[in-house]
Amino acid sequence: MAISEEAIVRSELRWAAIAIGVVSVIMLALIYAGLVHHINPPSNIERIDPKTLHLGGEFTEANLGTRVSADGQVTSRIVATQFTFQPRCIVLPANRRVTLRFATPDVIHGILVSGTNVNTMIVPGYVSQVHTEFTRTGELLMPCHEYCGLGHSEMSAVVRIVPSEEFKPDAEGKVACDAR
Amino acid sequence: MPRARWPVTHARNLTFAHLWFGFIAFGAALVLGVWQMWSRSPLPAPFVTSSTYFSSVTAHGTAMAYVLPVFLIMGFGYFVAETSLGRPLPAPRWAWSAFALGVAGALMATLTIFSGRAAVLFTFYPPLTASVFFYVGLVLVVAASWIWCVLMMVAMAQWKQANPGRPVPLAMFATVANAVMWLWTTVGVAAELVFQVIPAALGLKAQLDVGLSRTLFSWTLHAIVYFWLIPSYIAFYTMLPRAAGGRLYSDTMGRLTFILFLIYSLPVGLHHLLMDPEQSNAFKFLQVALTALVSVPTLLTVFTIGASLEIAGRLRGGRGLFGWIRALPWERPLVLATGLAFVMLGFGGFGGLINMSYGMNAMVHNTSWVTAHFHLIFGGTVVIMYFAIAYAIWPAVSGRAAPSLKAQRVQLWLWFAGMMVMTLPWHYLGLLGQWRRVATFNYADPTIAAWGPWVVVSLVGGVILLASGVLFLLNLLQFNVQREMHAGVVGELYAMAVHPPARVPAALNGFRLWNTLVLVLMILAYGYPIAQFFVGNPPQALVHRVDERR
Amino acid sequence: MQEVPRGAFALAALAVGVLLACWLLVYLFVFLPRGMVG
Repeated sequence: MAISEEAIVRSELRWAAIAIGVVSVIMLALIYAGLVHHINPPSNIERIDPKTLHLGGEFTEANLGTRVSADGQVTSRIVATQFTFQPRCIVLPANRRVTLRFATPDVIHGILVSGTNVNTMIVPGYVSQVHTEFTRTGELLMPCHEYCGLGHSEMSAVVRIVPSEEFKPDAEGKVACDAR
Repeated sequence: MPRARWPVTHARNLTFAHLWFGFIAFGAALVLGVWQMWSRSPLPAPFVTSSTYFSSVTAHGTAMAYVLPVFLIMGFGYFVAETSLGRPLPAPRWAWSAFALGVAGALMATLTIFSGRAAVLFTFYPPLTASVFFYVGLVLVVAASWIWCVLMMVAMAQWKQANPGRPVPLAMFATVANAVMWLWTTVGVAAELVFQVIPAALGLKAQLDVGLSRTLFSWTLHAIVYFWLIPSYIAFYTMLPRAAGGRLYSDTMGRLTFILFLIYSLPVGLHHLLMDPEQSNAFKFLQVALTALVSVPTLLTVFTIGASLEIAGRLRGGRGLFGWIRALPWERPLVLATGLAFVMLGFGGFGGLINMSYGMNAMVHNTSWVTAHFHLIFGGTVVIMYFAIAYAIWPAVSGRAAPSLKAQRVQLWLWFAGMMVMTLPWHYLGLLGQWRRVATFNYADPTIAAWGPWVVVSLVGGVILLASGVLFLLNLLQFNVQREMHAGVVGELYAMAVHPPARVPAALNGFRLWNTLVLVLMILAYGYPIAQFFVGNPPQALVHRVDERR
Repeated sequence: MQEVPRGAFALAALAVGVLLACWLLVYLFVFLPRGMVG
């Protein structure tokens, strides 16, 4: 064979440099997205006892759904359970930073909000939290996207994004779907 | 240095048995897969209930992700051990015991699934808990594979002792790299099963830590795909250059590729948990960076194998920058399969890069994009080479001459076409928001109705795959009706390198250094992510049985 | 073959270049527009 061993090694090293360069470009783009555009995976690490979350505290039934706190923070709390979300419909304002918080008393679930980067697993023992800002109004599908048992196919909720003017909290700061 | 003819002694029956068992499981799983695609489509499918659907998904996943690859890798490994090392397999009785164990386990798991008591999917995410026989069946399959790992390591060690200072033939070096990696890989799922899931299934535990179980499973979940793909890469590096009429561009790069897979396939599993709340951004990002490194051996392979093919193409008269491509002997199934595999690798690799891209995973997690991706990259790129490997070694294994190569080529083209037609629209549906693991969609909803036509296109792709799978099994059976006997020895199967090494450094001839590196990387990448569950009493979830008799 | 495999280099570079371009296109035109999350 006419090609020398040194030439082979050099060509492989040259290609390896290109491969590492390509991979580095991707890593830099990811760092940029994380730091500048604030797009990070949801990594809340907040523990909660699944067996008692319905009894008291943040995820009791009366406290679920969207609520605006005194300092203006918009938070929507949803419980995922076999095989429904409570509540099945939430309302959120467009163009405003909102927080979604999820918990489950039973098995692994997960959600995505279609057309957005809102996506998280819901793991028994943890509160999942996603901050985001919805830019378009409309009814968005929020299905359960992780297998949670035989009823998984039917498990789904709706996220209704309304213009800010139509987002009117009641006396307790709550906004519910049927109020519309 | 490969000699002209290798005797195949124990491997002949072992390889025959293992590959047939794996491919029969594969064939059954294909039928289930098409039925599942049908169920998800707007076209009404028979026998659909949520129980039958999710039991089918469990069976399909278990067969395709566990049974087929384990049996193929074991069978091919025995063949490589005898033919590349030129000596009979040590301890063939252990190999046959492992086969029996694996078959028993696979049957146990399958019967349990079909009785409807294990609709937990092949990822069996606790606290969903199936009948204990499902898990024990899988444990037996893994135990069988561990026996194989030890046999591969013993075979290589014995050869090194008889051939001091000589480089282990690349095919065997890669096989043992895979065995070593598999031993590391299975630690995660074994720990999850032994300490959490099986006690829960036996009723000994009523609660378990789901964050821990998901993290332990993620340890296995990514590395297992490298376990699956290494036989295909063995074919690329050690068999394809010979089949194309050329040489392997660099034996050293081959060794480095398999070493890089061994090191970097394990400390990356958290990229399957990017959307999980129980792990921090810090460790997710670290493992994303390591995942970027595990893409490097594949990028290196694209060049090295391309260069090996260019040697072959130019020897056959190819001119110009790309003329060597057309000059290649595409009528040979192994060459054709490689070309098709690399096209699918382009698409599948792209999908994988998107999946691992940290925050970008939110765009695709648990959508059909993910399902489409792993069908394309594993079912496409890797499995098409499984077919080609079977065709290449079957003359020696079956003792018959090869029948129609044309039928083999048609089968490979059908597999490629079916895979592209099934998975490309499926990726698109994922971006549109179609989510995973659904038995039937509500096509009355206008958003979902718009997906309908694409789902049907995917279904057509699945049917083409089924046809290809049936043709594959027929092609193997065809060997049995051949009258022309094969001498039962392997001809020129393995490629020579452009510069065959007379000696290689110990680091490229063994795994002691690399095992140390794997240990260090695993402690770094998984140490805290696992240890955190043992600090401060994390909340446990109630075990949720799915095997109650209705 | 007298010199290094230019064809393989070109093919690999083309393939990886297209790969990177597609990744950047998805990143810029599908991912970023779907909004900030964290």
